[in-house]
Amino acid sequence: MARTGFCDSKPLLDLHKKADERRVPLRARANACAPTDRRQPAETDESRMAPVKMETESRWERRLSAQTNESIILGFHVDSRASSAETVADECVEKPVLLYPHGLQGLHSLDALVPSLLRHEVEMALEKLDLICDRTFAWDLFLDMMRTQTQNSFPNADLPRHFTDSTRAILVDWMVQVHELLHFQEDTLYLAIHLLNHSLRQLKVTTANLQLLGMVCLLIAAKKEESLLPEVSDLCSLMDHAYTKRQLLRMERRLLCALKFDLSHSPPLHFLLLFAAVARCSAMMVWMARYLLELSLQEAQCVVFLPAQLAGAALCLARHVLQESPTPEGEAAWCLTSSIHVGSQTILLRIMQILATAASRVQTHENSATFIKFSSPERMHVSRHPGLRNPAGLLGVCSSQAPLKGTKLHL
Amino acid sequence: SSVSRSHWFHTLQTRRLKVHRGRSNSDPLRGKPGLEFGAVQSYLSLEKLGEGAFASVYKGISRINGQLVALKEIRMNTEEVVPFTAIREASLLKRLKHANIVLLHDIVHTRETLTFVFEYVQTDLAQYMTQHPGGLHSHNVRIFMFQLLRGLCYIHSRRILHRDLKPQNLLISYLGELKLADFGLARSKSIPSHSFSSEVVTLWYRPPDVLLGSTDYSVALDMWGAGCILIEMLQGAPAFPGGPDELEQLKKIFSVLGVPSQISWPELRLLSSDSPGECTCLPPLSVIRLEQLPPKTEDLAQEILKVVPAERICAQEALHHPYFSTLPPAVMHLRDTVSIFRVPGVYLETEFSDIFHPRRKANSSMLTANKYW
Repeated sequence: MARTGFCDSKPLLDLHKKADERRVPLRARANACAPTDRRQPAETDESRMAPVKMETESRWERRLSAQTNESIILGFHVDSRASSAETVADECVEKPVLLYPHGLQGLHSLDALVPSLLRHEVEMALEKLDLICDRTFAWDLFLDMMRTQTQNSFPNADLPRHFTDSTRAILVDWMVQVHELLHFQEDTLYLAIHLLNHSLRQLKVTTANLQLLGMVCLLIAAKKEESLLPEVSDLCSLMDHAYTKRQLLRMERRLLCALKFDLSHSPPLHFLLLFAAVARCSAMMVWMARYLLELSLQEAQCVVFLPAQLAGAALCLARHVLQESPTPEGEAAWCLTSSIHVGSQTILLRIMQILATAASRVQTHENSATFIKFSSPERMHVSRHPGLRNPAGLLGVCSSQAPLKGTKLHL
Repeated sequence: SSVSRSHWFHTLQTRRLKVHRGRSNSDPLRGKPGLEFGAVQSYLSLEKLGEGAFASVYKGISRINGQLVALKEIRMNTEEVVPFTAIREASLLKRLKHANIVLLHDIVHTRETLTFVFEYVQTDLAQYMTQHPGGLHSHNVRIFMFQLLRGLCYIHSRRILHRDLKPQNLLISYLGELKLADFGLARSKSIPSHSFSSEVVTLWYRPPDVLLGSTDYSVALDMWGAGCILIEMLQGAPAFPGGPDELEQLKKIFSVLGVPSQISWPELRLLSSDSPGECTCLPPLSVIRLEQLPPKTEDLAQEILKVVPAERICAQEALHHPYFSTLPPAVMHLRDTVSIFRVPGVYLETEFSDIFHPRRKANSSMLTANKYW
């Protein structure tokens, strides 16, 4: 019931729209705020932009409070209204912080807009993750990550002919297995899949050579990221010698030429760990989100989304699945993380739907490499979590609750 | 006039491109059909400049725009994989556009070779120092150091570590522009960072923490190299010309900077513990003994050459060190791609060795660029 009420007001999950159209709101909003940005000094900016944003957001809020009653988010709203101390504590969180990935014109004025708390948290998190070489560069790096991630998504999810979503999923699944077998880092896997997505659009590859392409993507990613490289002959034996060493080397050069050596990539995993660190997520939740994020690699439709959006959605969904009991500190930190605007509600909901479907589908089959990988004790058995088993429940949760990413909360 | 000429050149090219492929080979520098980026025939190699482990470097000329280029040709027969250094260098440099980083113009591939087309830079710092022995002019040292730090600041803010800083990898143009080159060992930092191999950075420019086996690299790694280069430019000889192995190198460093104690460097215990024990005979010192450096210079050198990596100053802080206060303030606010020599008042002084041996300068300028590109 919640779902219908939600959908008739705003056709959020219109699957028939093309990817481009689906992305329009994000661009439109980003562009809309940019001129205001330039005309006005930073101080008045906020008051000018806030009403524009609030209009839609408050509608969200009202709808939510009418229709959901057991959501954590709502509970938190009530909580914070009741306790005035917390409202005061979160004063600085409330400011609308807009980090539009597409509205790049506004980026230079961000320094003035971003509350120092968020900036501080992001810097701390980057340092804790050991992602930065030095604290001094942390904020620059974060802006650079947000800026360059736009090069990592694709305008559409079209695959070449003879190459279906399920073929792609099988290939990716195999790549995950090989990656696990060779003990590569996580970054290597994300880069390899990115190269695969890229190369499928650049190269003409026959179905017979798809496995070779997948292996070469892994090899090139490893050359960029890893310090220990496997022997080429080992790679050939992993493919049951279906291809010769010569073929592999030729494919490597073909691929590098087609990509013009452009191997830059901002992995969604970095965003995930960053957001999780700012939000003070539990280890369990981080593993759950990582599992969901890795599942997104198998979904061909996910290539249209930005890495930060995938990460944000995975974290949101993990939160819904685990339903951990909220603590005031945790909620405040989550709010702060949510103020990093990664994309519109529509997009995040769409991703969460895809991920939830994928997670429940994988649970019934149980032979996916990602599933097996994340069912290990060191990954806290997250893929076997009962919360993932019920697709209907999961989807219900997804479509009736507002994802917290990008929501402006009125505390 | 240069504007009008380039415009004319452009129109010529576009018109020629429409014409069906011509057969004339008479003038190699004229715009020919098919002269485009990425094509073999767009570049003409002139002379060999050097030979590396994977690659040979040629001086060349671009037939597209007549510019001098350096062609780094990586040999690959069909039985060999593309070297990972080439992949890293190309993929990193493609993203980096900065006045103090060598510019990668183009990548050309044929069946046998892979060629990176770089901008042509006349000489490198190692050669410049050989030509001007006995230490460089302090004014020039400041200008080189500022550019080195500016380049480092740029790559570090993009979480890229160079990891192989040495004078041979710092190219110097005839104007005095310094450019970081050879990103074959560079890589971006990622999670988890502990899989770097510890076999990076030429021994003389390697920081003590890495010599002790640390693989937890940070900007401090590159900063140590920059500090060594600063000393080398000032005194005309390497800062820590150590022995053949890590232990000798450590002894050399500790003999100058003193032996760190457990108190001054708590993480020391976590590193391979056998080596520092050997050096305990040396006096524990906390001050660098540099001969008669001006106070600001000495202070910068001390800030950079800290034995404990966490205490080492980072590139951005170093750029704001009082040592650089004599440069025009405008150098601090340049766009990435603008060279500091565009700021009025920034110029290279004549080196002392050139004043005393004017003929030698003429000779040496003929000899430049026979080592690298």
